[in-house]
Amino acid sequence: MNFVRTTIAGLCVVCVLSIYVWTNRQLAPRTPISANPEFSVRLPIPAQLLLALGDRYLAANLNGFNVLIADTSRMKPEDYAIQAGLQQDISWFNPFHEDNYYIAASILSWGGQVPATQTILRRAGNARTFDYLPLFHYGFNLYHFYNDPVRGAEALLAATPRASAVQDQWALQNIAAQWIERGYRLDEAAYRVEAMAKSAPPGNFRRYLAVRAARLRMLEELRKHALRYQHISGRKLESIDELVAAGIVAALPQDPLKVGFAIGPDGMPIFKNALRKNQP
Amino acid sequence: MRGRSFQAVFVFGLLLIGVAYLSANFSPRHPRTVALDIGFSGIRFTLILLNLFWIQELLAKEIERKTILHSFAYPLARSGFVLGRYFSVLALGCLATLVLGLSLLTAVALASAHYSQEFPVNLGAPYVLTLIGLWLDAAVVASVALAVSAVSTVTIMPLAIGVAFAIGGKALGATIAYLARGADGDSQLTARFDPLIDMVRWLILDLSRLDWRLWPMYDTPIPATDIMLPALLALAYIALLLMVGAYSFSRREFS
Repeated sequence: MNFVRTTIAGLCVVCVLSIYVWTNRQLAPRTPISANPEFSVRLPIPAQLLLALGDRYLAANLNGFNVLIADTSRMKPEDYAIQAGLQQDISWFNPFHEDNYYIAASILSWGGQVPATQTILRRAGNARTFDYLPLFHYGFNLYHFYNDPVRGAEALLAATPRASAVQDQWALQNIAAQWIERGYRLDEAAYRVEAMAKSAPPGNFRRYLAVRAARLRMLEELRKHALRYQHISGRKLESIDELVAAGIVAALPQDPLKVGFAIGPDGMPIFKNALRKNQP
Repeated sequence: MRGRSFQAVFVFGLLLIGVAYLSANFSPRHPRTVALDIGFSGIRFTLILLNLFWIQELLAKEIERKTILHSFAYPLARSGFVLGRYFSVLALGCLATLVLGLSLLTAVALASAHYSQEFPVNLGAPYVLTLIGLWLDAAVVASVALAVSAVSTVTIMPLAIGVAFAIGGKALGATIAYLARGADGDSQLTARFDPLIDMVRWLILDLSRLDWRLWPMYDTPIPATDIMLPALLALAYIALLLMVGAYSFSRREFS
């Protein structure tokens, strides 16, 4: 009886041992499923919260470290997608997190994760009312990735009062003015830049904005003359000088920013630098 | 105070502050804020563990060892005994908060001394206020552990329930916010848990409301009502639990 027991026990040990050895040998050459991704998992928010002992700020920081140590040079598009998820979670746990929005603006958007970046920047902008950078990046992305200079300029103007240095305020307003010029109908753009000039503190910057508004009005006038030219001659303008030759204007207005005016493909006056950008 | 467990926890707390100091290196733009953030999380965790171990040591173990019967020999109401123990835990907690708070202050001041971040942390009154919030948070957890140890016959129960309460209560606010947002668009999840969460809100205190660290970390003042109301709620909750604890303790038969 004792012998039988010992034999059965021995067989069991041998059996289990061989299974162990076999599976181990089978697995050795196989690469682990999670080998090498920069980010392996993104847990649901309640699970992350539980892992951080219920502490949302700790959860944000733990994710933050994960994002920070990821090597962007080794990241694949799917890694960017996971990083976008992680960073959105951070911005949900703690929208104030400075590194989070900064990394999002500098890495995520260029990795193809623009909507996630905008979510993170919007939350940071709402929370960090003392910081102009989240709204600046938010506006820049609207301008650059969504081709929406009007809403981009709106974000910049909302960011302006948050900048503590006057130079930063001027720079933001300056960019906003240029985007407004690109995004709005000419008369509306002129009106908006004039309004910005009026609300700016007296001094050089106010005069600069007024000059920008004035040249928009010049362009508007030139376009009216161009329409008159078409009406009279029955053909489109080919050169801006034709307005003088036809006697519609005595002389061409002088662009105070020294850029000058030209004729666009549709026969309407534009700024010279706009023509250069439109050419292939 | 013979137990070594709380000494170990205290050393652990100081180690966590060391971790907070090191974590500053993981932040390119606001190292001190991150050090402060991690430090607050560490202090909260340590204070809760300390309070739980003290309740365990001063109440649960005395019941287990029956040494509590000696204390009952004194001409003092049992409720007075329980309250006395609780308030001594609070006083010890106060001392621990002071020591840990000063250590964190030093750690944050030393963290990345060569980089001045654009938005500095506020280590004045808001810092002290946040520490008081953390102390109050741990006091709530201690009162839960006390109420449990008044009825529990298993020594480990106050510690276990206290830890679960500390995690659940802290996560409650964020969980409610998460479900209110629609749980990432999962409306079924929201529908399933909403009534449950609504009920839990009345049983478990939302401890995350006692966390005012955004003020020292980002220098954004927190409205007075968001400080006073949660503090008042916490005090009322503690008082209720102490009454329940003292009552059940007076009626309990020790054999």
